[in-house]
Amino acid sequence: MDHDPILTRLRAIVGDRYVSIDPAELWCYTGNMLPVNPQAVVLPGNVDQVVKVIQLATETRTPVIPRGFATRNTPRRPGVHPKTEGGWILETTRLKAIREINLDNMSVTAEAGVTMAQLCNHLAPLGYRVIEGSMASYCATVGALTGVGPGLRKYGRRETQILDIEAIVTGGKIIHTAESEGKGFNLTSVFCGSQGLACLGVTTAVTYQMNALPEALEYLNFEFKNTTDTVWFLTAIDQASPTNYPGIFQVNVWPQEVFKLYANMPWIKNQNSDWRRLLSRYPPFPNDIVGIIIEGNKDQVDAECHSILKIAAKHHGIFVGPEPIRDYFVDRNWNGNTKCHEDVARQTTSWTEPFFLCRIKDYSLVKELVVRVAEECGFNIGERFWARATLRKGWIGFTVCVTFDDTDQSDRTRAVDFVDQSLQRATEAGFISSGRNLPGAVSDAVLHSIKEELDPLGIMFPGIFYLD
Amino acid sequence: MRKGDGIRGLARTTHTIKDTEINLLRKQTYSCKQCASCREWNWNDEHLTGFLPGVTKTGFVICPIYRHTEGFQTDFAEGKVRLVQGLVDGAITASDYLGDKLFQCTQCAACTEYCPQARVDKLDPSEVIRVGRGLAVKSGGNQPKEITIMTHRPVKPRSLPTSWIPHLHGSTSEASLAYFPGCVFGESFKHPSIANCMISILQVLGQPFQVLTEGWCCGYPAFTSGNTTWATTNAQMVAERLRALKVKRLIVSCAWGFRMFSREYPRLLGKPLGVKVFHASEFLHHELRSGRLKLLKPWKVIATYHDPCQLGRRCGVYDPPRELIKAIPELRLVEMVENREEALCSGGGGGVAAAYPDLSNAIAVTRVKQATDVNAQVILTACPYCRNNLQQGINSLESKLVVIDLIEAIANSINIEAQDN
Repeated sequence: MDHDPILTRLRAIVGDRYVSIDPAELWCYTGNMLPVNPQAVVLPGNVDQVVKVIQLATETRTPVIPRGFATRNTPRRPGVHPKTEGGWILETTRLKAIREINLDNMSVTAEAGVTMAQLCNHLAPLGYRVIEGSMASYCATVGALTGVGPGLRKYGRRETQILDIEAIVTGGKIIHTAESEGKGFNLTSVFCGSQGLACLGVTTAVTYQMNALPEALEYLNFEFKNTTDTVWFLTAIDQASPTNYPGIFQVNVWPQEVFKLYANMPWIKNQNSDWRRLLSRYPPFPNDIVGIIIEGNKDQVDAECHSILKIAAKHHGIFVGPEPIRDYFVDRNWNGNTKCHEDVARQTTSWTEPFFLCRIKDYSLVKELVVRVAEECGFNIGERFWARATLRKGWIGFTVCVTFDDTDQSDRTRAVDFVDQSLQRATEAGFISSGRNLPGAVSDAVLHSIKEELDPLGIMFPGIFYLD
Repeated sequence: MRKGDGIRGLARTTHTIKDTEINLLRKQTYSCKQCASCREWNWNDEHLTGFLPGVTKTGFVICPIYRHTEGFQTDFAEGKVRLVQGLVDGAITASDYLGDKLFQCTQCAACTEYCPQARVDKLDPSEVIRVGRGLAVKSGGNQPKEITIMTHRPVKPRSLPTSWIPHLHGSTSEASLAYFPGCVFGESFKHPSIANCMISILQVLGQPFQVLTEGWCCGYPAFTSGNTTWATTNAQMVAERLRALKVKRLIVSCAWGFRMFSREYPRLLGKPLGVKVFHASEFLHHELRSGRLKLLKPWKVIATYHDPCQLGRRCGVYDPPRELIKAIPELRLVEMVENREEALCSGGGGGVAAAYPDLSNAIAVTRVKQATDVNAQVILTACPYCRNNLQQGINSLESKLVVIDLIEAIANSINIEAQDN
């Protein structure tokens, strides 16, 4: 037993069992690029305990690293974070209550440790759900998910689905982001884009918008031989939707780099039947595969599928199947933790993923640009590089990912170069770019100011913006 | 925290781990995506229908250890796999804490059942933890002394008193069909009725058979503690004895024993065992379908079936026990909320019952409550480890539930009285 008086006070708050200082336990919490070397892991059991832990941390100037679960949403820009020495990892997975379902305003409030699947399971018998989006893990806790999320065609960005966030800020004060407190601000969007990057507080509960469960769901995948056809097709879909196609849930574009990468992986050939079915039709690789998810009532979905097939045919799109590929496989098998690949298992320990937002017509330009930069930086296309685009309203969100050996300084430097150069050149070319997964709702300067207001002592895990 | 008393040193000096296992560990630990599916199963949404056949629900905790511990990352497979990764890479050193965390695993393989990477990279978290135990002990980590004692059971064949088998006279040493009662019937446990019932059933069936009473160990304790070398030595000895006794078909009534003989011996030996291995439920189911086994005596009871992890998830035997149960006249079979692939462990495996009895008992209590929730009067199972642990759970709850082995139920249905001593 450690005799550190601060740890003794910490144990008194949450109970002996829920504080661990064992090096083996701490090591488990420092993986996946989280640049910390914590003193302890703390599992508070309720909001009151979180408040007291934050009060103690404030009093003792101890850094706090809030942690949810299973989003793998750790900072993705290599070489930017210094390692946070000491501090407490505060994991909120024991906050498990679903506090309220309000059918009047169609909202549900869940504590931070409730997983998305638990929440959806809870709502399903009532005929409702919350929109989790494609990038969000069903295993992830809603507290952790406030920092990540999709840009969905049908439902918009995550912050449009989150009505309120209850968070504990420095000093132990409980705030509700949707409440203006007489100041006229709604901080929900700021919290949604900031968690894990420029942490403002510890999320303890989230209020979601509820939506009705869809009656039917279909997938359509189209192959396009050149980017011009892809762009015309996406433009047509974008202009028609949602007026003509209110059921379109999400539109993903996988450029040929993804297929080259997947074609190189033995397990894809052996195990993944969906991708195998697609890959069996190539090589040569198509320029793009566009995957569309449609949901709604059955008649509506049938009619929209029929109509979209016609539009695709008009733009030389070839229907290649109804497999539910979406980015589940990309997310799970490449994006999340790149330690998985047999061929690079020992070298590739980290990854980075710059994000670009561009008009649909500029899709081919931004695609060419990042591919060129990746190659210039030595990330071979189809080996340690992949890209994906998501259609938004009038825009395309384009993410690229390279993997690198976090312990190899030269590899790390190349990854940093790739991020910096691709972001810089994309910005110069007029595209909106961001080192983060999602572009922030506010500028970095404003985020700085908000963080200084909410966390004047800087005890919350700093994040890249605070360090810039 | 467990200290010394000589046992730890003994474990460390005798534990061995093969280089091939280290390589396998490294490859497997790096396959983990940290998706937490081994903690709570959350992926079987409509977008992924059919991804895991047999899994029907989502959003529930699957790891029995995680359900009853504090909830740190090392309390379920993902963190345990990461501990092994740290050990393999030398990033962390073995410690008592680390040893305890690795040995706090029932080896129920629920994590493996739900791991998406098991389908992709053949990641087997449960196996990583098992082999990692050996590595941890070899590196100086703690092995609970109860498990150390189990793994130091003499492995040489020896004659055991057979007075606990009243009907042994029905067997013949020349028969190619053999019944392996298992270690748990004679020495450690005090109710050999499962073996007695099985022998009686074999007598009724009229097939020539022999009972293997040399007191072997199937090797499970050494195997589950990660001491693969000892398990291999044991397997070689057992294979030699089976050859000498001219055994061609082997019936095993213990789920762990069945897994060892049918799945692990070929791996440990590097070649087929050369003996066709049946779990008792499979054998009896075969006899039932062929018409030689007739279940005539009615038993008016509401029963539920607990799937032993090693029989179900590890060996895929789900239906034969259920069809046997359904064949008992007037018996009504109800399923617990977690059944078949989703079945909750009884808490009896992996050495947890011996080393961490409170944790094991808490898991058993949860399982017994699931049986109570479906108004079952009797829990049937097909493994003596599960039977014992569920009995502990029933005792803790002071429940009126009864747990018996499937073999005992079958014997009852053909008018053979179960006899404990």
